[in-house]
Amino acid sequence: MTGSKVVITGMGVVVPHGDDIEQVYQRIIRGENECRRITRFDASTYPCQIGSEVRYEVEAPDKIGPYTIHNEALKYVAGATDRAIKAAAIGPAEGAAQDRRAIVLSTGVGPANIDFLGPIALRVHGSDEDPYKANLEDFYGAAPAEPEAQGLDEFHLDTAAPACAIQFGAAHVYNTASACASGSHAIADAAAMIHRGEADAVLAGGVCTPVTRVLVPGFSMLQALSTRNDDPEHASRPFDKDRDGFVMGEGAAVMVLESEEHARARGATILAELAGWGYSCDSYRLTDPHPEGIGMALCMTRALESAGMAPEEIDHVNAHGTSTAYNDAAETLAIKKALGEHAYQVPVSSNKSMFGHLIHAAGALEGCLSVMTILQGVVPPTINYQTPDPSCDLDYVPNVAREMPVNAVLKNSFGFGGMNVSVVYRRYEA
Amino acid sequence: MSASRLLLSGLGALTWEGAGLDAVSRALAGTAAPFAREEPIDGLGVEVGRIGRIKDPDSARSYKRWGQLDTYSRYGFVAARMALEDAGLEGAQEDRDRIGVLLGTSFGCMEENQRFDRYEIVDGTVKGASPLVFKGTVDNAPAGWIAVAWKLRGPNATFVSGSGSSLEALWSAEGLLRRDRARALLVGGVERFSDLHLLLADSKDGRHGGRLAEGAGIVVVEREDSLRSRGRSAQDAHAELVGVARCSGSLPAALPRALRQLGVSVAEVGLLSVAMPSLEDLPEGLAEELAPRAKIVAEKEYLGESHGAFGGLALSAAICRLDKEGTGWQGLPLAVIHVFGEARENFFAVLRATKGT
Repeated sequence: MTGSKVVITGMGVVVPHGDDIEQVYQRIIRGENECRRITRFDASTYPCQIGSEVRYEVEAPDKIGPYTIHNEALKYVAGATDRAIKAAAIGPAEGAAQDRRAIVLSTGVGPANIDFLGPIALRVHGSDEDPYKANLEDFYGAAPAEPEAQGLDEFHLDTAAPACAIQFGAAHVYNTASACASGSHAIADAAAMIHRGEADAVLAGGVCTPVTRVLVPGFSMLQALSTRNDDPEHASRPFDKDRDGFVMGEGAAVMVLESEEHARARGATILAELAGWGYSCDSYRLTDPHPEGIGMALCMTRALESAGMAPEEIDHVNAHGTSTAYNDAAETLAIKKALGEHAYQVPVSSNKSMFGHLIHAAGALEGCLSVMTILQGVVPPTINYQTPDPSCDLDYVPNVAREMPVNAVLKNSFGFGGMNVSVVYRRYEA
Repeated sequence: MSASRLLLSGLGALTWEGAGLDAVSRALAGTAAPFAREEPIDGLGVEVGRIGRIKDPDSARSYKRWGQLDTYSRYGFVAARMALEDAGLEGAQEDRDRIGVLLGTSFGCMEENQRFDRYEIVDGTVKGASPLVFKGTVDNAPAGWIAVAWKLRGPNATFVSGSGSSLEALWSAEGLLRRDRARALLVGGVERFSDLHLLLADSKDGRHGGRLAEGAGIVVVEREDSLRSRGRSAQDAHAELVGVARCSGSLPAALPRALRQLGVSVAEVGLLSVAMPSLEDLPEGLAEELAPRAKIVAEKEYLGESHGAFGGLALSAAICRLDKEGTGWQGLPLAVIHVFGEARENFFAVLRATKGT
């Protein structure tokens, strides 16, 4: 292990608020909301009819190497990768240099990627009486006579990461699948790879397209989604007393991480340092956080230890803040356990109040916004905060952004399965 | 970075032939029953070793919610239970905040996805489905259930990197343990096939050239200082994990680079376990890279192609292939386990025999 500093030199997003991270951040600090009624499919009879969708034409390559960029998820992540590479002014590596580059993506192989499987599934389950057929045909149209070769390859291995590897010129490729913690997990693992001296530059982040006819009812079954259908813009209200669940969001976000030496040697503009990270597990229930926030607190403490920082050095917490009753109360307790008295001084905000929960991409997008917060010195608000909840008694930056110097942000991401990841982003000092 | 050695202190394996190292040994000896041939889809057939829905009284005793686990999660759970028992960590009140779970899978929860997608959705409501079905539609369900059952609050992660997944998990585990971010980690892979997977495998017949097999291979990798704190020594462990290296390029070119990365000599390698379907597929020039008495094996010939679980099972298979005294392989101290990752990547895990050291 080299112990090299890990720095961020470029970021790229394709998310509901836009495809330019600086413009997205400006919209976020203005408190602009993208949670609206779902347009991807007819959700008019659904318990939850609200989503945060990418509602503009995304510029992305049609084909990357052998991979056709044929669905929204691939489009989003290829577009975000393209933007991050340009922002970092780092061209694709060639030849042996590719061995020093990696891709770590959170894409999942779960239902979110089922459009890879749809045509095959339809062929298998062709009976007209089978509701499976009806469900799938809603998405994918009629079954093809024969599975196409590319469809099968995509079925076998998620193509997003290998396609991005071609864009970035990376020899090492892998995917994290830690549910809602996955985006931060990918970024933390990328940092670990650089810290171990096994890569000079890693592109890491996540992509998710969960606003589907199947996934929305699935999360509704767990009573995780808001049903405030008559008022979609106020549906995602983290830490508010009247919160009733989250809103599904879609998009992709990635960042270019490098060793400090590598970035400086090529004259890159360093945006921030990824100073530390921590992992833990709640080991409580598969889909509920521990009510006392034990695992969450452990994770934040580990991230601080890893960064060699005291709680008082954290200027802002970018919360997981889903807007569910359980998460927000448990996270509040956990922040107090991890930061002690400083918890009452530090502004805590949830970006999800404005774009919902991007699941596999959530930690990556919110990580990019954490970096922007350090660069711009404006802490994003938690919008829709109207009624204080006694179980959520911290400073959540209600409704209005706050200008203040920010040197370090603690970013939390928690997922199904109990996986927790916290990442510390810090102002870069040479 | 702390200098404590990393040791394989527990092994757990679930194969089409059965559970435990005995089953792995039977498979390696070629004395196991032939693979079942399944015909999941009209007109298509694929040779596959399936485990099926398992009833495991030991696991049911270990965890009161065993009945809620989907089949994919059960595979991982059974292998994890065996590994924890083997390591002596199953019932002990150890520091569980520093014990975690890192697993790999290639196809993950695909069967549960299919199961969920079969339900009729009327007015946005899933008719007749239990919320448990949806809970199973995450790839990290086995890692989550294992952590919940044994109250393991250490790092918990799942990797989806094709056939390299379990050594991807091992690579990540090595980093966490060497930085002392955990004292012990359950590491390996789990694979359960859905009928979609079998269709895929059938249409890709010849691509892997081997037989498919479900499985779960999970080991406990533990820091030596942790093992000592429990009154055990390296001699009690199955082997030392020297390290995991990832190198792109052809196998014969990547192997020496990987060994150099890990600071070991090719002359010490007594066993090379390669990820080819059979020895007939060995690339030219590979044998010349090794000492003359070193043995090359292709465990997929015996264990089948278990994708994301294969690396985990191959670790147990390497232990089964230790020399009789357990002091090495072919009289040499190192074994190398190879799997292919995504793109052009190779993973190499290097084990060192600990008996007699």
